Amino acid sequence: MSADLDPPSDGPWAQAWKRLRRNAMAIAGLVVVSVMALAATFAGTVAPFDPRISESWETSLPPGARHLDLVNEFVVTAGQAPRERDVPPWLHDGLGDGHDHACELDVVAEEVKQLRVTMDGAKVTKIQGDGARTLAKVELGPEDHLRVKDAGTRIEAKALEPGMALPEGVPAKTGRWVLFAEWVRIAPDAKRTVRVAYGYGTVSAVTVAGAAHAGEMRIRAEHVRDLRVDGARKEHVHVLGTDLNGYDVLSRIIFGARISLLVGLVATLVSLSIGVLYGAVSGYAGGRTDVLMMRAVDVLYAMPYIFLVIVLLTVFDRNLIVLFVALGLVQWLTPARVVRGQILSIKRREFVDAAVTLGTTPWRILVRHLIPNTMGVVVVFTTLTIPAVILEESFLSFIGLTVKFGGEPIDSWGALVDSGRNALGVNGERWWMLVFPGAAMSLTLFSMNFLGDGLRDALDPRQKGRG
Amino acid sequence: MRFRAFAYALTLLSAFAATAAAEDEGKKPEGAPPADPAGFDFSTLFEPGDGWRSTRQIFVWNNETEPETLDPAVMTGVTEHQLALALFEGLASHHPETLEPIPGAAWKWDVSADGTVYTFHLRKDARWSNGDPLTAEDFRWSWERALREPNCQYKEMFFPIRGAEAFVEANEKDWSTVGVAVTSPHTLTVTLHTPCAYFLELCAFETLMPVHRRTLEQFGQLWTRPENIVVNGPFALDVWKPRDRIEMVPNAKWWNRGIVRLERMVIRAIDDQSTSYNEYLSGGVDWIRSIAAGKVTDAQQQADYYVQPYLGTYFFRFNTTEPPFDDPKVRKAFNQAIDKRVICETVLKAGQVPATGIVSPGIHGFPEFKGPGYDPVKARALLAEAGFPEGKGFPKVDVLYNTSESHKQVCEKLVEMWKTNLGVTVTLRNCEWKVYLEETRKLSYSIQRAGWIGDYADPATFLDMWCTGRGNNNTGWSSAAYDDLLARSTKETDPAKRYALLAEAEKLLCTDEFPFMPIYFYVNQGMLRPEVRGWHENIRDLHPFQYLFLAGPTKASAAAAGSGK
Amino acid sequence: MGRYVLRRLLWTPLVLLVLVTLTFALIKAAPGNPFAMDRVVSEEIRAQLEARYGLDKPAIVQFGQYLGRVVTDFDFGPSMKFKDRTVNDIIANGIGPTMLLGACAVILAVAIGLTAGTIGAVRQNSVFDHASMSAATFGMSVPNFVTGPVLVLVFALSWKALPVSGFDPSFSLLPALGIAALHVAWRVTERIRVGPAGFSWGREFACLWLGLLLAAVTSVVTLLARSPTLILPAVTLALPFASRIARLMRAGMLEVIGQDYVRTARAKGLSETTVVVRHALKGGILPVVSYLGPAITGVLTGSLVVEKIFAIPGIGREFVEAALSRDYMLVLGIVVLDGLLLVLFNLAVDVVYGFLDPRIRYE
Repeated sequence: MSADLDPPSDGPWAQAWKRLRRNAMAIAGLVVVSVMALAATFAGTVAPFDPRISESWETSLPPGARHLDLVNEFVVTAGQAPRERDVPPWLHDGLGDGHDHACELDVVAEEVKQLRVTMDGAKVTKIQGDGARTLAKVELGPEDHLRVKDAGTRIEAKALEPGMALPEGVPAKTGRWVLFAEWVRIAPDAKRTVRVAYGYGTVSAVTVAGAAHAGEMRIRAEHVRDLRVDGARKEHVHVLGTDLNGYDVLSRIIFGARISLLVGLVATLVSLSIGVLYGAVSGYAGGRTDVLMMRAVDVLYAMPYIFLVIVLLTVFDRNLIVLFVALGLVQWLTPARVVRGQILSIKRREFVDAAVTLGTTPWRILVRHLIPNTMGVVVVFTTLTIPAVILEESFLSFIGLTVKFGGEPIDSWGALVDSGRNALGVNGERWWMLVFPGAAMSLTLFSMNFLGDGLRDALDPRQKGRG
Repeated sequence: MRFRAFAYALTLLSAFAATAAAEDEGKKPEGAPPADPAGFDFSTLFEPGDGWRSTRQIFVWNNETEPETLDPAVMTGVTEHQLALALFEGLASHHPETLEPIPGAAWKWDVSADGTVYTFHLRKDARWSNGDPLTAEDFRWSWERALREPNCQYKEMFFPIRGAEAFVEANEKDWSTVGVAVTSPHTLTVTLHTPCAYFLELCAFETLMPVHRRTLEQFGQLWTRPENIVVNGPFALDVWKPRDRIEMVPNAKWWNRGIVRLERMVIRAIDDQSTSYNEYLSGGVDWIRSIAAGKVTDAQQQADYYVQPYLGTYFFRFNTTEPPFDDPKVRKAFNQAIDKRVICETVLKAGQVPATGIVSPGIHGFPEFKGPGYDPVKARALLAEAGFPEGKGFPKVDVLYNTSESHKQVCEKLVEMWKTNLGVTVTLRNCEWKVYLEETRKLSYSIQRAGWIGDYADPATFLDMWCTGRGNNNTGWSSAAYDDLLARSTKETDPAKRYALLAEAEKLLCTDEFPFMPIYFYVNQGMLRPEVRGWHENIRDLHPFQYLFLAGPTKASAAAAGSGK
Repeated sequence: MGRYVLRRLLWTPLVLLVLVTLTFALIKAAPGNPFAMDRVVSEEIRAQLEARYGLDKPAIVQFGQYLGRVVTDFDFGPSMKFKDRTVNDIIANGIGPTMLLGACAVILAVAIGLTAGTIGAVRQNSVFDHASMSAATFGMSVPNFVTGPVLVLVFALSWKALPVSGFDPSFSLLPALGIAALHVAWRVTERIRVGPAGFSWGREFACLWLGLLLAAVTSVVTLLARSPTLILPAVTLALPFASRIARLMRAGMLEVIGQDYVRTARAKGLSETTVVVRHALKGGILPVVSYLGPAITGVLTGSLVVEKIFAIPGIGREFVEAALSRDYMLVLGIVVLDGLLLVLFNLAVDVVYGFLDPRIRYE
């Protein structure tokens, strides 16, 4: 949008630009909007993660959380080039650069079974594991142990069954409470270090605890405790945390911006094209045509639009095109009225008369002479309509009408806010899933409104301060 | 079948004898109503508890959404089912723990030797809430009306009855062709066309519940309004504020009024799951039947949280009429490439149970089938055998699902696993619920997400639909051997042998054929205050309200009592 | 004026006709079937159902019959989803809560907005001015589906001061009557003080709207004080409009304060309060009144969200669900009803505007 503002040498546009520059808030808005638009355009490059790939063991991480740089599961086979899907992120840069790389993974191959133990004081009343299954008894093998989840303390017991009292060391509570226990079963070679050597794009060797490993080796990320590549620990950061499904919140916001801004921009352009053309024709034609066209606008004004949009979106497939049309149809009425007013005021000017005398066709007069003169109003409307449309779209996402693109539901900001609201804990836990998408959206709306106000003041000083 | 029914009649009789004995010993809990003289000893369901006498017995709970109707014959959803359970009573009712059919409006029943003729003996003291006696004719009329009612979408519940299917499908006008006969004012004789092991369970189902003829004829569509409705269940409708609340009070005319301890139920209709959960936390309701996906982690930390296996299976159908899924090897490869444990633990996170069979576990006496599990190496080998080594040359396929965040997450995980383990790219395709249903019906999909909730606790509810040409098959799959197994199971009257046949049928489905891909068995989760007693976990989330009571005051009950209601 | 209102009223049926036709056409063009279920419905049953709801006839006949029923009997037909309720019945149940909530929100927004905007304009560039305008800009930019959950978290779950959801209104007319009595007392004393010569109907009118506004605000405050379930939804719904109104009011007042007649009033030595209340307010409020039309549309829209979050048994919740489950009859009924409401409210706003702004003459 900043391109629209290029000032032509020293006309009214240049003056407007000068006035706009004096308005600090509008300029701040312009900067924010430009940054958002750029981030959205180059989302693929800017976003630190692919928002469609969930790292399932990285769910609900707080902002700034560091994590080992791994994919869910990958396979290495000595003597073979890794398949594309088995290349962990840290290897992307190094693979095939002609150098040898060595990476070490500390793997703990333990199988953890989550147990939900319902307690009555210090007495075990019910054990659930394997999902909702109620277990009659948990018998621990010689290598197994139980530990209290989160606290990490071990429970010294050889078996767990309803009716028994928990051994010492577990802080008993009064009344009914729930103990989350982890039943840890450790394989004989539980802790081991896997060394993978890469040379010329191929896995040259896989060694486990010093011994060479032939054939395929599957490594699950949740078993990896530490990771070193060429001696350096490899981590990544989730600046704004991750959501319930392990998606990176920042990346989701950036990709969401793409949708929200695109929807805002396209729907606005649709509505403005219709509105400007309609208003211009109506104003220029005048007379009976004008009255009729404006009556139609009056009739349409009284429609409960959001309801029609909802009907449109539920009746037809909820794809972007339908949304553009639906939202565009809602917004064209006001520009049509305003543009008509403008046209009425300028069509009696000399240059129009001159063009008529020269035999220019009415259509040409409209397009070449009249419409360009309404551009000020159009620019203002654009900046004020975009946030309105963004808000409408997010509102639709929120009430469950998520729009789809290429058959995929799109996580626009509204959808992100909705899932953030659902994830919000009673004491504000997981706040980042609501606050950051909400803030991104509010900041954008805020900036656009300021920019729009600023532009209106700059282009039409008489209107200053209105609304 | 016959054996089972007889055994059941026997247990009833012996329960009767045992009751008499128990009564002599005076072991009845204090305050319990007298034992039912007829057969089943209902006083065993009167759970003793301290403190209930001094507590206002008002149970406030959230029923999720506004019921579409209160007419039992027209109901289809779970929300409505819960209400029907309180307002109406079929010939049989549910045991609150085991869900086995126990006497309801009928105090006993006899089953003929071949298992096809059921004679129901109605209680002489059973009455409608307006005092009218409840007779066999009421049932006959209600059933005929249900079969004629266009809005009754569960007509298939009647289809074990002789002539019922023809009456509907062939637009038969003559009711005498249907095997339902009133032999005396309190005796109803029902003739089935083949034995049906679960017919008594159907008798407790809402579609077969009676409605009051005079009220329907007088008020038409308005008969379910609180001022008009006449019911025969443990509770009567007091207040119905649509989208807000329904309030019920005990039905004074119900034959077993003495067992009902609740003085009022306030049933909210909060459909937003986040709001519902917040309402529970703030003490506004004492039972919520489900928990928003985003709140599960939070809820699991609370002692009031419960999770119970639910009679339902989440699976994906394959379109077996078109390549590549016309090849069982491909279907099996797709199955074995999925690590269902990961889906349950990292996506769903509510204790769902990974499934390798189709019949949901927990059906009494039916063994859970363990089919082939996650094995990516084998899956790749199978795909190679089918002609797609490393997924090369695999045609374009997609997964069809109805728009929903959780379905999307499951589907994304599947796609990721197929990509990793088979090298096959599968795309996602979602539609609106109603469109999705049409697409499924027309078989315009490659892989389709599906779920099936059992209507009754019998394996047949999961297995019958895979027979050739069944309306819910929707895969195009057909097997003569399978059809034969199912047909033989219907005729089998020995319950053990019948289960063996059904188990064999499940094995046939889930070893090599896989017209579908089972993912997990549903669970049901919610929050319940410890003060609420008489509530038992079970696989259908049915908790007959007549047995519930509060052992102590809760914030919600106190607030409801305080507002003068 | 009367002719203008009459003509606008005559236009209303046309607006509604366009609306019904448009909606009906959209619905008919839709894929999917209202009777589709996750289990198979046999052809016979489907045919029976379609006959019951008149869907077996050609679309144009259906449309004609529908229009006929609506016009002659004001009967919007049966609901397809709620088997034992009619559309009329559902709308009758839902319109009350929605209107009540909407009225609360609008009045609350006007009260907050007018006060903040006026003080901001009178004390221009004061701390209050800057604080309230920043808050207003913020309030406009944060959508209500963010404010709602946050308010619930703070006031209902952490602080436990207010209920999470529900709808339990309780009202008393006494405080509003008290305000009315005070207003009458004020006018009477002033008339006695000024004497019969100083009386003018114009001034009485000018004072009347102030009294009405105060009485309305008092009613809303009474309502909210007596029904805690309404507070959070009303505030959530009102916030964005209060912000917008505050900004409009401030701008309007600033413009008016600079004008000659206000300067004259000041020069006459009238107190600042008198100048603002008697002279400036009437002019400054014009932009706010013209915003009320869009605001009412916005409140209807916003209620879709607020009713969902707070489980209010209103028409908005019905609408979204009806659209999703293809309950065509209900969708049509609600669209028509909302169209009617909007037309009437917009007309009312225009009339009020005409009274307040002497420059406007409706031809």
